[in-house]
Amino acid sequence: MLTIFIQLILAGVLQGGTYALAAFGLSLIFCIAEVLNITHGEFLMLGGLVTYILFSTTGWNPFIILLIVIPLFIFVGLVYQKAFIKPILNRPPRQLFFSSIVVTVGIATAIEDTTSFIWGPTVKGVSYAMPAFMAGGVVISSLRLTILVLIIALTIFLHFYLKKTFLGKAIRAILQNREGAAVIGINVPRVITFVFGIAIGLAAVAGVFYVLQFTIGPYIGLPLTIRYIAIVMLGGSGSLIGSLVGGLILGVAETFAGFFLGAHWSLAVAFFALVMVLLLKPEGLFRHV
Amino acid sequence: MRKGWIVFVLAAAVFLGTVQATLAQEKKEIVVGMTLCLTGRYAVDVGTFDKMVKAWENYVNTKQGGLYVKAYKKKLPVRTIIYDDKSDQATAVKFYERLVTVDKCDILIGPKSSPITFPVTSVPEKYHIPMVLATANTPAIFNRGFKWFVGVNNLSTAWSDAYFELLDSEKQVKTIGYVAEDTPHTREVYEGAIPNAEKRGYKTVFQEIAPAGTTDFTSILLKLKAADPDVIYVSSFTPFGVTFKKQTKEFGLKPREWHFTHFDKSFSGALGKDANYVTGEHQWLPGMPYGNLKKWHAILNEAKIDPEEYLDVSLHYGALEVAEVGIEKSESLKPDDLMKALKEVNFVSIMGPMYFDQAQGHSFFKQMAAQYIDGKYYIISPRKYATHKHVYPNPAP
Amino acid sequence: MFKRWVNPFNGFWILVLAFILLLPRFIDPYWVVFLLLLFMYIGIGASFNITAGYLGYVNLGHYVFFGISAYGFSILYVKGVPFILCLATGVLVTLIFATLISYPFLRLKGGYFALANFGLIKLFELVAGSLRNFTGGTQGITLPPGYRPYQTYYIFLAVSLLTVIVCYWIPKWKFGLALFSIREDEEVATAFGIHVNRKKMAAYVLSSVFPALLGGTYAWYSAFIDPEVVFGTDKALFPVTMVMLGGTGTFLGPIIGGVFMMIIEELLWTSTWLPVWIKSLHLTMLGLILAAVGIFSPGGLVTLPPFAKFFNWVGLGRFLGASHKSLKLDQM
Repeated sequence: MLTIFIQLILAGVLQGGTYALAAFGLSLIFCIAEVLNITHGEFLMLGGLVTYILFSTTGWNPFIILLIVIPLFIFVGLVYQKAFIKPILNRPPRQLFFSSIVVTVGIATAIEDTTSFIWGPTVKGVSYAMPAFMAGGVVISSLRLTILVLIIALTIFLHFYLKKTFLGKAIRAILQNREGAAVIGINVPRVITFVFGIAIGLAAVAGVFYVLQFTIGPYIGLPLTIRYIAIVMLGGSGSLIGSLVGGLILGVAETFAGFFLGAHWSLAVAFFALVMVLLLKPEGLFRHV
Repeated sequence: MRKGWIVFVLAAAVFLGTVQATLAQEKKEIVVGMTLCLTGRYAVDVGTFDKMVKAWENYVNTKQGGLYVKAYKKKLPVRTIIYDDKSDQATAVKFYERLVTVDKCDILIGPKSSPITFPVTSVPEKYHIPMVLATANTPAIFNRGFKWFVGVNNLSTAWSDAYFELLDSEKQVKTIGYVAEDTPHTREVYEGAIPNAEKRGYKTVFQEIAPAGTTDFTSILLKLKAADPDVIYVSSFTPFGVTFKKQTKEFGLKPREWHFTHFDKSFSGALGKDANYVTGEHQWLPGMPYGNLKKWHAILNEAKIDPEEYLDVSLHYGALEVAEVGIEKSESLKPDDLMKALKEVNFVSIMGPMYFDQAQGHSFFKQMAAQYIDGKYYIISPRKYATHKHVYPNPAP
Repeated sequence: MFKRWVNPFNGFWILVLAFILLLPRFIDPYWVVFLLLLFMYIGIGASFNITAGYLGYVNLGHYVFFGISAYGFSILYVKGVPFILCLATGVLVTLIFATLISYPFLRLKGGYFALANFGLIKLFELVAGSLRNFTGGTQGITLPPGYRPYQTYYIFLAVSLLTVIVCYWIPKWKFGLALFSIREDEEVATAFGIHVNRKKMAAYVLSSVFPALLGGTYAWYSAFIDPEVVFGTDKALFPVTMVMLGGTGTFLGPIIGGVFMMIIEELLWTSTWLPVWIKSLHLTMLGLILAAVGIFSPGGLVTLPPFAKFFNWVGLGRFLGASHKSLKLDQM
């Protein structure tokens, strides 16, 4: 029984880590720019797509491809922000919220459709496998373990980035008090642009991990974005720890519910947990960083 | 306020004008109408079929000179109209209405998927315009007593018949574990397969249904491992199947055979070596000896569609074939004659012998069992046109 | 007083109404279906506007009322209960749900409120898919079939007309003004003696009535529902986007947004004079148009000078009122 328990927790943690990665970007965008970036899932899909294309043409190890994907999508994030988000940023909050939804839904639809048109609507996957090993009766997938390790590394990196570097501190300052940050001389619009770059880059990284474990297709973006929004709400936006914990809670809830209640309850329980947390603690579990 | 009147009258005139744009014409062509899921969640299965339909139209008009209509004693060209239903019921119904009332179609072809076909079938039933269903196979569609359609697919519960017949003849399998993706179609296949198999004597050691978006199968895999069946039978679509199969490797599951009810090039592409020796069902593969294969290949080539990738293409094409045969057999293009001719159709299409259950309207088409071996899909059952012997047990490590 | 009611202006509107009522006689059933879908979206959009535009609480999960009522209706209808009772039950169930949910949810602020509601839709989709014995699970519920576009046309017309009329009157009542003041600043509103919580709940529950009516009727019309159809998240975004496109908080916004989106879609897809590749990319076009409108026209289409001028010219300027004139949009 204990092994089953450990197995489930492990699976839940692995699952949750992947969620948390993409969610953090979304949460950062929401907190810093007050934009609800519904296009987020599309960037995940595109990250996976680029990986698929590179993998099937060159056969490189996906983790090497990762090193190409990261800078590529940071750049994409910067461009995306400059082109579509910047024009709407200087509006009063409520209008910004509305506009951000309209714009991002529009872009998301356009990306989905164009991707389907160019690469076809079929799903794609990457047939890269790593052996699994047993440890004390518990099965551990090396692939997922590697991914988890990378995610933890990335999280630690981000944590220190936010704490130590100037850009990181600027981000945190804006999160705490936007006007105050502007007053002390932080170039808020520029920081926001960088944040988008980082966030989209993170989404793309999550996409690489996603395509390694599952399949991607032009239309997976929207359902995924919804899941990430759930995590952001759960964990508290703008908080790195919050997204991680939120993702982990969702992942573990899914696996446990699946085992004890039957697989068809796993997702429902996860969402139910989300709603419960929101009702009890409306700001999510953690406040800003 | 006078301006208001002017605007109103203008707007009304424009509206009515657009709406009444179609005038009565002398019959110059045969109009075939349909919607396809060119976008939305079913686009993965039929996204490029509009090319196939246009290729068919092209072929019929150029190589055959059109279709012969008895009432006019000559061949008339065919014109197809395709709308995108966005994988949405309401949009599909809206467009089928349009096809009948505005575009004045002579015959309709059904949309992709049973859930969408379900409400759509009330359109032909109301307007008395014949419809040939393509992929729909939910029993509930056929047992409502509707009279104005026929369907080229068989009931979903018979999906794995050919596979079980194969197992019967080999007498090697004793136990089967079942997993299903919780969508209407895959569920029906699963619910049809289990009693079918049990009647033939195969013991069910595990059965469970998981939601369509499941990303972690730990709970199911743990239980499956303990049950250790000879065959693990998974009724799923490609994304679910791939995710599942990838995780089974981690858990070291080694059944003697894997069976995935829907597997295509995306499946094998995503799994690489792990897809080797997996069995499943297909709806057309090279080796099927039936029908006008030259025409079929010509159309596939022009549309650049690979049946190993798009499992449903043979069904949508089969529906077009049935439409062709029905039109040429019918006394005239009048709906009653056409519907009567369609019901009485009995010919060999590329799907095999094609005729319909007179009460319910579905065909007796059987999906064939296939196996993926070293990069290619082979037919393993029915034996009479199998292109490869069934490899069992699974030799992969 | 009688003279006030019978004057050229109202006569005009009566004529418009008569036109819409008699339309099905003269046009193809296809257009009837087109229009009834339009009415449905307008109904959902306008009621969404009550919480989003007037109250300022963007309820992204507005569609959930549609779904709950559809299921409530269907479960009873397949048992042979008469149409009216089923619809009443569907609406009642939705109302009860809205009331229960409103208290905890309305404590949430801004974006959290929006997304928590959105999460509700997903939750219901999953739950509806899982409770097989009750809701038919993912196979959905099949209702007794029937061909009903004409009746549905009138029902949807009536409901959306009702919704639109209510939306027109709300800003003129004290209730509406209370909502606006809550939207602008909740604390100040409380200080002024407005029962903020009660008003919020009232708005939320009121906005749930109309999608509930539409949901039950839709189930009857299409004779088949499943979790994806009535709780589908991509569908749920459609009325929301439509209203935001048209202009939230304005009376005409949802109507314009709905008409605009449906017409664009229709034009892009069915026009024979457009090249094929545009048709294949019609969703991309729609997406780009949406994004463009979002970027260049913050208040929605309604605020675009061409539209505003047109409506003023026709004498409908007063309808741009409500949130357009009485409260400056740039401070929304």
